Amino acid sequence: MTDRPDPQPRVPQPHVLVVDDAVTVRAYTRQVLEADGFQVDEAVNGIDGLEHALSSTPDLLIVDINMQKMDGYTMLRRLRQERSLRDVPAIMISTESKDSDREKALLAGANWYFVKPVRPADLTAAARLLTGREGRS
Amino acid sequence: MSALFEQFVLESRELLEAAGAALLRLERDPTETAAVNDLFRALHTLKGATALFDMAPFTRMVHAGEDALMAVRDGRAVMNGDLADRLLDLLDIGTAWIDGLEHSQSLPDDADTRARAQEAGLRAALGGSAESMDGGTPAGFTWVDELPEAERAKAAGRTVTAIAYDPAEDCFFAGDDPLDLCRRIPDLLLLRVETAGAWPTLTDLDPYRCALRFRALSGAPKDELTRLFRSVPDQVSLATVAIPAPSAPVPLAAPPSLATAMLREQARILGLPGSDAETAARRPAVLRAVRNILAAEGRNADAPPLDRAADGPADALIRCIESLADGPAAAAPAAPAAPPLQARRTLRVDAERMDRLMTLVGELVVAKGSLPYLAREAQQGRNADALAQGIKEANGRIDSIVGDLQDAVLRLRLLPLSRVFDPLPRLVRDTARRLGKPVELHLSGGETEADKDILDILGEPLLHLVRNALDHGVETPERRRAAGKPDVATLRVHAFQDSGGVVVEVSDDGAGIDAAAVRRKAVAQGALSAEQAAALSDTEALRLILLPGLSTSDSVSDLSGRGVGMDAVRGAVEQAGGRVEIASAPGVGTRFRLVLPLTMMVTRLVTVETAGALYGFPVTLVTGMQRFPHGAIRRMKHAESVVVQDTVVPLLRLRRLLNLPEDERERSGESVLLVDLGGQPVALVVDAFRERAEVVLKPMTGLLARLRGYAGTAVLGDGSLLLALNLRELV
Repeated sequence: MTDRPDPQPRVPQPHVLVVDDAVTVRAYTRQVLEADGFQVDEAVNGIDGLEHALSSTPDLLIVDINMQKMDGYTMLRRLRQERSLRDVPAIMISTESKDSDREKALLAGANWYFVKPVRPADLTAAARLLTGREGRS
Repeated sequence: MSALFEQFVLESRELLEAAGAALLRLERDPTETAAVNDLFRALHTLKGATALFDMAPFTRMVHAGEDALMAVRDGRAVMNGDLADRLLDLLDIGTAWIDGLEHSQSLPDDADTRARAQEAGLRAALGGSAESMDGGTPAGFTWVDELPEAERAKAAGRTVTAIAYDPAEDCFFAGDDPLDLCRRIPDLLLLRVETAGAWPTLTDLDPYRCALRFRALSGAPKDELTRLFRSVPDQVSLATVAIPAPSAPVPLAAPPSLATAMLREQARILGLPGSDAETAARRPAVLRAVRNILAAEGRNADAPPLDRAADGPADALIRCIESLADGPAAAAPAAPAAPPLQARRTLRVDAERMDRLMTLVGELVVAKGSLPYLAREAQQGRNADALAQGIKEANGRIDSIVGDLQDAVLRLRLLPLSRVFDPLPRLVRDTARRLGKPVELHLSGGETEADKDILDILGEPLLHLVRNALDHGVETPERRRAAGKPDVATLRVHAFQDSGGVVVEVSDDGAGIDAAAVRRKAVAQGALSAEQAAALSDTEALRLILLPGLSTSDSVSDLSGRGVGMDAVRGAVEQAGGRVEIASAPGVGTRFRLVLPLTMMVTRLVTVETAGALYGFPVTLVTGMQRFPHGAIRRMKHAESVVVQDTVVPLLRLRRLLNLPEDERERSGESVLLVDLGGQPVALVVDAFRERAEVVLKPMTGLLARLRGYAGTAVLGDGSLLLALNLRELV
């Protein structure tokens, strides 16, 4: 179900912004999402992420927690103060698996929390749901 | 709704509340037998009440709670946080059901599933400590695990009692009837009849000896089955086992589980703690996420209920999303929010107060009776002096009764503060548990009364202060230990009445607020210059956290310990004509004090005269009235000030604030009203002081409503018009 782009040309490809300081993670996430028909943009830390988000207004954010310059929590909190971005759904991904970490992510403004590593199918399924994309094949 | 049903709703609410309170007491002190008994009694009564109506799931759920308590009472289980969580959850569901029953008179469609889930959860919580070890299947019951899926389908996902009955060979001679016993097993979910050993050859078969054994699963609790098999205790063994849910669930295919989990998570996000600003900031993304999930699932038909709840109160929205998570188009998605609100509008009035009102109305009718008599006298040309005397007497009587009436009506609206205190124990418990900070809550003064409107306004700020105190004021146990404080923090909420009105204090023994940090933050944010900040006293600096710009910033709360949404607290309190006071000592604790007027219907004003007109200021804001000789007024360039109790206070002139002509008359000094503008003392020059007045303030309407600086108008007893000023808008 993940090996073919969405066949309906009428629907614009949902735009996902991936914010992570690890280049491998970004590449992996991009590959998984692009294979499922998403359009992917990357940012390397919270500040970079805010700038990208402000200029392109993505449909979904996938945000790492531990990043230099500005961490994911701070970025999401700032983002939720921004009129144009406050309603953009966000997934947080981290290696931390404690309940308290999940709680902190949700408190900061995330809509969903994944513990790394995320299976491709889970990631695309979550992205499809949060962007409202139909057509599970 | 029948009277009986109405009574049931009323009683159930009270029982659920009583149970909740007892449960919190019990969790604090697990040895408090009285609390166990109170709780048990409340649930038992509730169970009995539900059994009167056709609501088996409700009865079932409450019964499970009762069972759990019985285990606690008998020492078979310990009341711990998890069990308390489950029981609180049960009470919450019960409350939601009662709300639903009140308007639809039926339980939600998923009631049975939820009741069973509660039941299983409670049994599991108990089973862990009392029955089986580690929740695994007890020894001798491995056959339960080996049952084919089809056979145990009825019991799937439930915690049930497994029965292994091996009748003795000679049981028939003892008068036993094994098959009949098995038939009488209540809530029988599965019955297997097996051979007890190798089947004997036909020639050896003795029909008077039992060669069979029985394996069964029942939904009934173990105790009940022990009773059933009491005649053959040596031949039967019972165990509580959890039957796993089928691995491949309902024909809805795989992904819905993720969608459901995500929807549930969105509901949970809305319920997360935080200031109003924080919770409001999380809402838009949640709404969009829920809409998108519904769209992705092709459930666009479910969007309207969400849209209806989108701008409403958080709890209604949470319920709405939860019901969406429960499945497509739940049976009755409409009108989840309205009825409870309506219920809240009703006011329970003390019968005694109602009686007093009736008595006064009776007196008024009698007093009024003298008026037609006086009118007749006047027509007959009676002496004017005697007539005037009669009118004055009648007026005096009516006046006194009307005064009493006003007082009696106000009293009808007075309610004890315990109404806003009630949610606090639960809030503190949940928040403290979540934050891992043990906290003891001391509530006092709940019997203090205040006007219903004041209570409505007080609720939110109070929750806010309590949350803030737990979140930012109280330190972690490690830090408390390091500071030489007891691990368990103390949070006090205390209410009392003083001359000005109702006072509510929220104090903690936490880290306190660092005034220096607040100053730094204010300077960093550009709210003040470094010099201005340095000139502030510590008390004044603390008040900076009430500023909107400063308080909504996240970092100040991390830094100084407080601040998020404090401007909202101040806003609400001041809107009601009250004020907020802060006292804090680093390392010792913080005390917030909300001073509120007793009622909003009648406003107590200090009236003054200026340029021939009357103006009023709320008594709660006025700290003093004083006359200053001209010499005591200092002038620096255009600014004037006076010294009050060793503090330099800016002096303003009401005439200038209102753009009225200057006072040309010669006078020896100035009449000065001392006003507290949210921590900022101000001296205000007026022409003359007048008496205090209690007035019913009417807000400005029409075009006048847009005028800044006026709180409203009132007509005084002599017919003159008074303008109540909102100084904060004028200064």
